[in-house]
Amino acid sequence: MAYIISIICIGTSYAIAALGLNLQWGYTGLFNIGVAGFFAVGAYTSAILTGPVWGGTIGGFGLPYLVGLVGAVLFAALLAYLIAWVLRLEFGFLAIASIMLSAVVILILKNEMWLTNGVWGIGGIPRPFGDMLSPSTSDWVYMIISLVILAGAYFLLERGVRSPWGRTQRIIKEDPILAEMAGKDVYKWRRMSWIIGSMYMGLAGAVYGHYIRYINPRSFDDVMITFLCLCMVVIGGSGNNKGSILGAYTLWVTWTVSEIFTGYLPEAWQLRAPFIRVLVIGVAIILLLRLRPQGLIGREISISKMGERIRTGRVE
Amino acid sequence: MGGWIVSGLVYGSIVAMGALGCSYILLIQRYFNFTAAPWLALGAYFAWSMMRVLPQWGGLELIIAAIVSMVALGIIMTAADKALFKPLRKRGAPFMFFYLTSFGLLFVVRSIIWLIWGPQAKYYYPGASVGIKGPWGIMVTPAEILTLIVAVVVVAALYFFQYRTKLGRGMLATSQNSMLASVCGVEPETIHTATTMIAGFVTALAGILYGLTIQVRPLMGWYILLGIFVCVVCGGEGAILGTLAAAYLLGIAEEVGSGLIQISLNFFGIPIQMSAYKVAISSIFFLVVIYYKPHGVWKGTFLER
Repeated sequence: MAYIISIICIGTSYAIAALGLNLQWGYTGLFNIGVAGFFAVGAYTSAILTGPVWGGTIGGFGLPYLVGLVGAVLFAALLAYLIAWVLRLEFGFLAIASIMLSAVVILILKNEMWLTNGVWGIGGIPRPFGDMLSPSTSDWVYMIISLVILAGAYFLLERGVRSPWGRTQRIIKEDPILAEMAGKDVYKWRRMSWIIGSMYMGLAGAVYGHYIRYINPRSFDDVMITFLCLCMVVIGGSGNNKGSILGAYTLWVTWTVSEIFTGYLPEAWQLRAPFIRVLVIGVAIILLLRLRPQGLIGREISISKMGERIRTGRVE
Repeated sequence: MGGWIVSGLVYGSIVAMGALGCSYILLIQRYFNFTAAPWLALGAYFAWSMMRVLPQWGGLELIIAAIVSMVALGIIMTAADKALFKPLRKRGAPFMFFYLTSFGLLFVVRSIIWLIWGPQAKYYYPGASVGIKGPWGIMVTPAEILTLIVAVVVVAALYFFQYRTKLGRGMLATSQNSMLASVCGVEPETIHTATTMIAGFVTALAGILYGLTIQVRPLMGWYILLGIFVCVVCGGEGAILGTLAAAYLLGIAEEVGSGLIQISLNFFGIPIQMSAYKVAISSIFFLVVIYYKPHGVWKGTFLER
């Protein structure tokens, strides 16, 4: 049972990150491959704000859980704001800038002992109502809390993308010149989407950190976070929030459950199992892009309730 | 100081080779090739396997292995391009698909390398090589001298190819206006094949030089991928001389910059090890360049070519 709860909790944090990436990639068309950086910043910010002093790092603030979440979101937003001006330039520059940002963040996490305890990581991150509950109850409660956070994040994003705000973002993805001609400041709209999506990633990192309770820089490598999140969005169908959540859980369940089967492999292949998994998922993504570029569900055609009624001929 | 500059030049030469491959792909196919990182490692590993097969002939085996690996990588990159990117071009897919495919291919190739050769570091010639002492604290190994020479020779050869042969001019024409070029008798698919072949040659060479001067390891391309992109952006797409100049600039900036900052940090007693933050220096370099000159630093000079 604890195993299932762990799958759900970590899957939920991935789903939140995938929602943020979906806003950037699926709605506005920004290619963020620095998800790991924002995720790690969220996890570490929340851990330092709420956790105890651990191995000589700063900390011991002991702030409540909610403050940790808010801090993670704000810090991720700040980080996104730092390179937001790159959005004025071509598509590829943002990808490079974001991957650089993520590399620098991971380097800082690895090297600055006073802040993050280096490669040894930070442990003892408290959960909400930490001391009052027994470990198994705490797992249950945390699962419910993370699902509530996911539901809230989903609801907010869904409201956003179905409003004129979201329609503008879609126009910017499809045809930025058209959006410019319609009087929209493309850079400002992209910046909004970029920062809000990054906030989601920071939130996801915080949710992840409080569940795992021990984080080190190795938890946030580019395979585990960036690649998986991008695959989740693509599998579910970019430009579809339900698809992102579905893709996140599908991929995460496949990823963890396949770990059980590696136990039956011969000794020499067990060490190679992680690479086989990455290989399989990478090939699947490339084939999916080739054969079914819209993803499992595909993007939603309806843009609003009125548009849906017009499309299905139910308008009076 | 002299030592910093020389090691910066050596690092720059390696990065320049990788950057030329990326630059060609950006010029003709209009996307930043993230897969360059594992391709580079793959080229180095091909050469390593080849060296295990060949007997020791006093340096000749390295040349044979390098040529075989370059050709092999060229063919593999062309095959990957034909299988994965050609349908996208045919479909007129949005450029996001190119980025996403190359990013997915990065992880596929990386895990293939891991599966075949394992995570241990490998060396072309085991054992420490003897450095040659020069003035001003310069200390170079034969491999580093070789790297410096090869980079200049390759850049000269590519420059000749680009501006003196028909195929090279066809590539330039296609990059500027592919429709007009195909009307004038330049076959677009030939250009794409030539592009990926050349990209494969220089990328494999970058991997081999990296393996000679440092070591062969699965993530070797990933470590210098950011440097490669900085050079591509800085040098300007398809600018051969510009890319080499940008790579030298980047290498010297990383080495000398981190050295000087380290001295000043030590002076003020701030406990930060700058050697860990070379990526940060190249990131700042990149951000400054794209803030002021997003289309290359050498616009309007002879280095633009």
